[in-house]
Order: sequence, then C-alpha cells, then structure tokens
Amino acid sequence: MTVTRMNLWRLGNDWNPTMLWYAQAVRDLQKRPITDATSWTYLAAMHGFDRELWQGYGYIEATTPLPPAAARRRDWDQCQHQSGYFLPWHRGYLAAFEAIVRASIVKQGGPTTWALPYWDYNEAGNAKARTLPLALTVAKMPDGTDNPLATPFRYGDAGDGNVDIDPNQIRLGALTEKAFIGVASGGSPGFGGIPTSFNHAGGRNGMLESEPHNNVHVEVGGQQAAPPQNVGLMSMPVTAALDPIFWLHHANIDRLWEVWLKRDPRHANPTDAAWLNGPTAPGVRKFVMPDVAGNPVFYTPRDMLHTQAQNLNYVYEDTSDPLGGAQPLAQRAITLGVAAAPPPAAVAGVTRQAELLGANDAALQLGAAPVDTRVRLDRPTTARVVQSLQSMAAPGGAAREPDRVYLNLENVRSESGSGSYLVYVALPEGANPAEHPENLAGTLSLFGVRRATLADGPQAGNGLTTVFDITNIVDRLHMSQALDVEHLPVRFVPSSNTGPQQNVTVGRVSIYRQPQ
Amino acid sequence: MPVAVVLAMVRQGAGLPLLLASLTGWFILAAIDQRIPLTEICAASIGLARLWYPPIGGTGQSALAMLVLASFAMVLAMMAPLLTEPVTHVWTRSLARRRLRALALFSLAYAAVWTAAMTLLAVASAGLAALGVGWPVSLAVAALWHATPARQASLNRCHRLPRLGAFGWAADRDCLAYGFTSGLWCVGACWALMLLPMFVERGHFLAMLAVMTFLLVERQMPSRAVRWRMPFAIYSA
Repeated sequence: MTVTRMNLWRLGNDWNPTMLWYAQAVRDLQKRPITDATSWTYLAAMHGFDRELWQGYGYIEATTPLPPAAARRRDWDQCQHQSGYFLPWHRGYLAAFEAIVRASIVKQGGPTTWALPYWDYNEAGNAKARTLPLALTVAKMPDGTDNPLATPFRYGDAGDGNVDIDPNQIRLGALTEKAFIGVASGGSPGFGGIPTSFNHAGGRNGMLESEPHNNVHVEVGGQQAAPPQNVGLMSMPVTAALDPIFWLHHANIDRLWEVWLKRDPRHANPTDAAWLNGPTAPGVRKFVMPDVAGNPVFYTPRDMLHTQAQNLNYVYEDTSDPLGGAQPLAQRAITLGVAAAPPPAAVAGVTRQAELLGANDAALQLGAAPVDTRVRLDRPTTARVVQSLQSMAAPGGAAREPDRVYLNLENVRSESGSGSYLVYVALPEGANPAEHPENLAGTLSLFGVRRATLADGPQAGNGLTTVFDITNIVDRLHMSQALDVEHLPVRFVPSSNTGPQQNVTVGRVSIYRQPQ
Repeated sequence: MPVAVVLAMVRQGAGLPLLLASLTGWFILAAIDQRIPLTEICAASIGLARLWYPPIGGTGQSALAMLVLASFAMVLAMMAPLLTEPVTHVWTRSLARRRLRALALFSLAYAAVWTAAMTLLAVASAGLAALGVGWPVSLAVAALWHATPARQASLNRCHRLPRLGAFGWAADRDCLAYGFTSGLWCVGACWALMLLPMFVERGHFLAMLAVMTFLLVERQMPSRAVRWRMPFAIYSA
C-alpha cells in the first residue's frame, strides 16, 4: 500500500498521532543494542561513525561491544556526499529507516500506514516553517516521560538551543538546475551532483546538497554558545543521523527531488548505466541497507528512481513548485534587457565543460571575522563572456543561452571547523552585506569538512569544493558596465552558527564560465 | 578488472591521451629493445661495469644516455596511465590559453623526478644482481615495502590536489611544484614494484605490463588509513 509523507507543520504544533508514534518508535530503536542492525545507533552509524565523538556525546562507552568488523566495513560510514549518488543513496537510507520505524509502530499497536513527515522549511505562508514544532523540542512527552525526539545536542544557529533557520541559507535555486548530473570542471555541479565512484566524504557538492541541504544541517546543529562549546549532532555527517530531525530534513530533500522532476518536463533522472547501476568501479563498496529483520539488502540508484516503486511505495503530500514555474532564462532576459528570451535548449544532456575565468592570488584563511579576497579576471576570457551576454540582445535572439558563471570555493579544509560563511560577490565598497542580498552568491557550509580534511581519509585531505551560480550577479554587472574589471571582490561573512574558534582554509577562490 | 579500468579511463577526458602516451612509451621501449635487448640495459643480469663502457650494441650512443632514454620510456609507458587525476586537475584549473603550458610544466617536473629515480633503480638493480640478488629477493622487498604504513602514506599523497595559481609565474611555479611533489610521492609508492621487472630476465616486458596493470587498478582506489597492510591487497577499506 502506498503511504503518504506529510508536511510536519501541517500535522500541527502538538503531539499529533504521527509524531507521537514516531517518538515511541525512536524510543524503541534507542533501546536496541548497537550490534542490532535495526537499532537507532547502528542506523546512524551507517551514515557515519566516529568512536571518540560518539563517546563524547554518551551514545556509546569505551567498553560498548560494536558489531563485527566485517559488518561495519559493509554497512557503516556509507553516506554518499559530494556525489551524484547523494540523492539515491539517501532515498534508500530513508526508506530502510522508515520501514524499521513503521515495523516498531505496528508492533506497538500503531497504524500500518505510518510514514515519515517532511520538514518543509520553505513552506509559503507559514511564519514558523523555519522553526521546529513542539514535538521535537519539549523535554517531556504527554505521559511525562522523556521525549526521545528532543536532544540537548541541537544548538541552532545562535548556539542557544533554538532552531530558526536563516532564510538566506535555504534558497531553492537548485530547483532551476537543468541537469541532474553536473560537471567537476568548475561549472554547475548539477541538481544532484557530479559523477563519482562510492564517495563517502569530500569532493564537490551538488547544488541541492549545498543549499539547502548542507546549510540546514549546520543551522540546526550549530555550536553551543556557552562552554564547552560542543558542536551540534546535525553539524557533522558522523553524528547527524543521531538527531531525530535528521530524517525529517532528509525527507524534505528527497521531496525536493520529486519537485525538481515535476516542475519542468525537461528535468529527468540520469539514464547512463554507470549511475543507474553504481557504484560500478571494481573493488569499491556497494550500497546496502538492513530490512526490518536486520538482514542486508543491496541496492543501486536504479531501484530509487520512482517513489512508488514496489520497494519504496510512498508519495509526498505536496510536490508543487515553490518557485511558481519561474525559469532562469526568462529572468536573465529581463536582466539583460531583452524583450523575449531565446527558446530554451530543447534537449537535456548537452552539458558543456567549464573554463577558468579567474582566481584569487593565494589560499585564504577564514576565521570568526569577515574576510575579503579579490578574484583576478582573465581579460580574453572575460571578453568571451561579454560577447556571449551581448549575443542575447542580437537581432533575432541568440542561438543558445549565454554563458553561465560560477564561483568556486576550491578545496576548503578544516580539522575542527564548524559553521558556515555567507559569501558575497561584488559588494559595493563599505556596504553592509546584509543590505545587499542580491550580491549573496551562497553559503559556504562546513558540513563534512572535518573528515574531508583527513590526509589519510578517502579523499586524501582534498577537502570540500562548493560551487555557486553567480550568473545573475554577473548579468547585472554586465548591464551596469562593471564586468570589464581587473578584479571582482569576494567577501566571506561568518554566519551566526559559526563558533569563535575557526581555522578554515579555502585553497582557491575562482570563477568559471560555462558555455551553454 | 583491468579491462574495466581501461574502459573507464577511455571515457574520461584525459584517459585516452594518457593511454596513447603510454603506448608511445612502450613503442620506444620496443624500439630500444630491437637494438640492445632491454635486459642488457636494465636487467639485473648485466654487470654494473658494462654500463659505463660506451658504445655498446654498436649504436654509438653512450650506455648512460641509452639508460636514461630507456628509463624515461619506461616512466612514460608505465606511469602515464596513472596520471588521469593530476592531469585533469592541471587542465581544469588552468586558464584555457595556458593549459598546454601548465601540462608541459607538470609533466616536465614529474618525468624528471621519475627518470632520475628509474636510472638510479636500474643502476642499483645491476649492482644488486652482480651481488647475486635475484627476483625472489626483489619480490620480497616489494612485498615488505607494500605492507608498510609509509608506503600507504606515499600512495595517499599521490591523490593530493594542490592549489594552482591562474596567472603568470605563480601558475608556472605551482605546476612545476605539483609535478615535482607528485613525482616524489609516486616514486615513494612505486619504486619497489618498478624494481622488480629489472630482475626478471625472461618475460621482462610481461612483468612490466603486470606491474603497470596492478598500479593502474590501485591508483583508481581511494586513499585509505595509514597502517600495516597485507601487501598487494586492493580494497577500499
């Protein structure tokens, strides 16, 4: 039977049956030992595990027996990030978790139709959408027992335990991405990410993964303002799935995949065998989840394409387009002063490689104060961008969309950093960044940066790379004759969730043009 | 497995040119072998002293020059296919008009380090052979080195992607430095296995091909924790 995943806030700001049953199932799972593949801790460790951190938060003790090493190697530390596998892997993860929770609910006499709610922090007309309802925050359940859905390790953006997400960090520009799979050459990393093998920690964020996914993690987890300044569970992949809000956040990310597919008939899932059957590289790990009995079931992205497939069988309450059908090309036509936009490219899959347009002069250190850098632009390459922008206004319109332009924050490394930075491009001198949201390129989130920085981790310490689409900013600069310059200023402003002790390195700040 | 890796390489942007570079290396090696058997140049059966007696093989070239050429060809043949990751890095992070120059500088530094190392390895192998060391000892040394944490650390460093400047001297310097450090870590990771074919008199080429295939498959795997390991075991954990 198909179940429906409902909007968390529309269920009500009270102990509604869905959240009551969720709490009771979470409590049941939390009682199971970590050696049980259907336990709360085993499932969380499948996303990521760090013995030291888990001991610090009190989820295990030094003497806690762990599952056999072979099972850990097969199942744990499996989450796919900075990869085109990000969405399908997490869909399988959520489905396995939901089935195990539902089995617990049914065992306790609850409904067989229970489904994970989703947290739509972008819900229009709901002033509270960016905060959490009571069932996730109050200390006690209606019967006076401890609420397993609340955790003391959820610090929020201000580090005081209150969650209220900054609307600037959950913009939905990713929904306008044309292609699911993007490029690793500096252009759009795609709606869903770039082609990779099994990719657990580090590399290049896909657009949806970057915003809102990563940003919500860090806005919710935050870092404790008071000593000992703990980092919140949601702020790091190795602890994120220990917080019950994790699953509701990811249900929303999974829902946005459906929204993206439906909002434009040209949007489509990848069709190449390497992705569908992945990871296919010889010798690398495969995706695997426990069923309700704890037995391993292997899966591939091919099994995750349709939410109503037999193995998934769910729908979302609402997959309407939050952007109201807005098309970036139409917006560009307005900005560039062209009456009619050229006909949009008819075929998906014509993604072209990007080309370096400029870079800053040296690696950048980020801390607790704003930091400025300048990206030097290459004159001949800038001229090609300008020529491409001018082509849109040519008589008869352009044959194709003009270049899109991307800011790359390459190889971001930090051994202890957490938090995020709002990144502004071409701010007027002396301007207050908060008064110029139109210059906000995006939010650099440090979610996942620690493991990606380990020199002997799976990414060899290459860190994270985040790409922002700054096409609209560049279009406006072009129209105000301000693009033909030597340098473009870029400012990093620490977000309120950023702790005082930061030691973050951005390997290079660069700008790429991507012909369309 | 190797076939899958080669096919995957061909699909990548840098894969095909690098495979062609490798083929060129094998061609040069074969050409040299026509004049003077490779075994004469770098196989362990050769006496150390003979290396310094030009001319050999009736070619008129000094044996050392021939040794350096053979070493370079061996690096080209066996190492080029391993360079997809750094070559893609250099290519995508350079301005389009500087890409060939960037690649040339990277390759120059990388090949210089490796050619020097290969020449030393060949001379060393000849010396060791003169002392009666054969391929079983070489294999044992390789197995021991491949079990060490230091070898894994070297291999992990091969995956490191440094910052590359975009303009002027900074861009040139960064590409040279990248090629140089890549070469050093690569020598650190591969020297023991590269030494092995020099002790294999019959089936010298086959041994080289086997070593290259192993290194190629291994290079596609992600870096992993630095600890003692079962030698030659390729898995991602």
